[in-house]
Amino acid sequence: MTVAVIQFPGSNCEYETLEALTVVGVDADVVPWNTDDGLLSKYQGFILPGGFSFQDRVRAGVVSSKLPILDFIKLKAEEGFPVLGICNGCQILAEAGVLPDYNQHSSLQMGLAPNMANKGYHGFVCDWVYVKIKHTQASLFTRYFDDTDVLPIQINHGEGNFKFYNSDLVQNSLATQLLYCDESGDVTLSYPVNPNGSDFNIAGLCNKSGNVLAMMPHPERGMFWYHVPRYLHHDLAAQRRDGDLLVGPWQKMFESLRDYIKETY
Amino acid sequence: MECFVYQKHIDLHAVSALEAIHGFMKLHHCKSLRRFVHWIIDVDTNLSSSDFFSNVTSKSYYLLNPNKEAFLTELVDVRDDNVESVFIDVFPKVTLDHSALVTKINQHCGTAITSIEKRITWQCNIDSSQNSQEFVLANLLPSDQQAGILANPIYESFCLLTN
Repeated sequence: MTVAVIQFPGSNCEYETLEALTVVGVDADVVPWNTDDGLLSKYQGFILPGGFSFQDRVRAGVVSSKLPILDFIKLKAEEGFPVLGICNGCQILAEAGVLPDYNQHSSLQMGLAPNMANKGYHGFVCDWVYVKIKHTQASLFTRYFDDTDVLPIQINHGEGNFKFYNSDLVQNSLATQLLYCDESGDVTLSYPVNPNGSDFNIAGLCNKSGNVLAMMPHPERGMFWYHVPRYLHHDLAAQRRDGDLLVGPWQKMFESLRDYIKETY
Repeated sequence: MECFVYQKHIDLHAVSALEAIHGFMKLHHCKSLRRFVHWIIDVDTNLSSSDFFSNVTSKSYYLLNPNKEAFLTELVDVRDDNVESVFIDVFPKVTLDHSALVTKINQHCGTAITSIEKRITWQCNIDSSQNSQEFVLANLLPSDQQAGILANPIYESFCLLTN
């Protein structure tokens, strides 16, 4: 049971992601972007971690999206292997046209525009926000969550503003979607609940088959109890203040990946 | 009036774009790239473009940082018979509110700017054995939602510029 965490030039979250996998019992390696396909083929899951690959030059993720390894990742995604893109990994999957796959066309369907608020560029945002997950059971990554969960998570990006070629397909999709919400779970469409101007408050989304998830927030930064800030108005923060919190809210995502690989391969 | 701001020494965006075009996309007919920040300004002034932008950029850093950037008021073809230049303007599909920037420049520089727009201009120098415009449109820019590299078709628009 092995997962490859792909290290691009400029990735900076690969070791936290590796730790998240290791803690839940997944045998994982950090694998450079120029690794031979033959060596990559031994892995049963692939994670594109956060960071600033190629310093976000031209646009975040676009240079990495042209790398040969993305052809390999696309192939693995089509074969049903788990693929998770976090933050810069999400931007790379978007620029490569891997997601979303709501229609039959193999064309670019979404982009991550610069963060916006109030009709202007909003710049880089590093903060804790809340998300809820729509259609949790449609993805191998989110099946251990409930649609009613309101989950704190960290965002850390300058270009996380989801825009879509066909908005109707996104709104009507039954695939898993992560939505920015307030602490009560209300999906308020305006800033600051929506921290970057994303259409429909989307923070991440999955393909129709449920094996590829691209998300801008960082689940590996919500793995452990000590990741959850004490100052949040949330049950988990209260538990942390009381000393009762044992695990972070996003450990279930990595456990779900672990169990899926165990069940499938 | 308009100006095109460029890096005096090295533009890392252009370096990486060209590296991706050559190394990953295998498109060697694109010989070189330059990148400009393209400011389009509506202003009430009797000054020429050159004098106006010299005045603004000597008094403030809003349009460029003179330690590492300079500007042109007109685009210039590359001086090489073996390549042809194609200029592409890339800009967001949404209209951005730059009123705060307009106010700051007017206050600092004593100008009468009424609106300002920021775009990115790419100068693609293409092997003259190719139809340069067709090459750029087919390979470096998105077409029919297929990914290019110089613009993202989901949230950006682009147009050809003539110098």
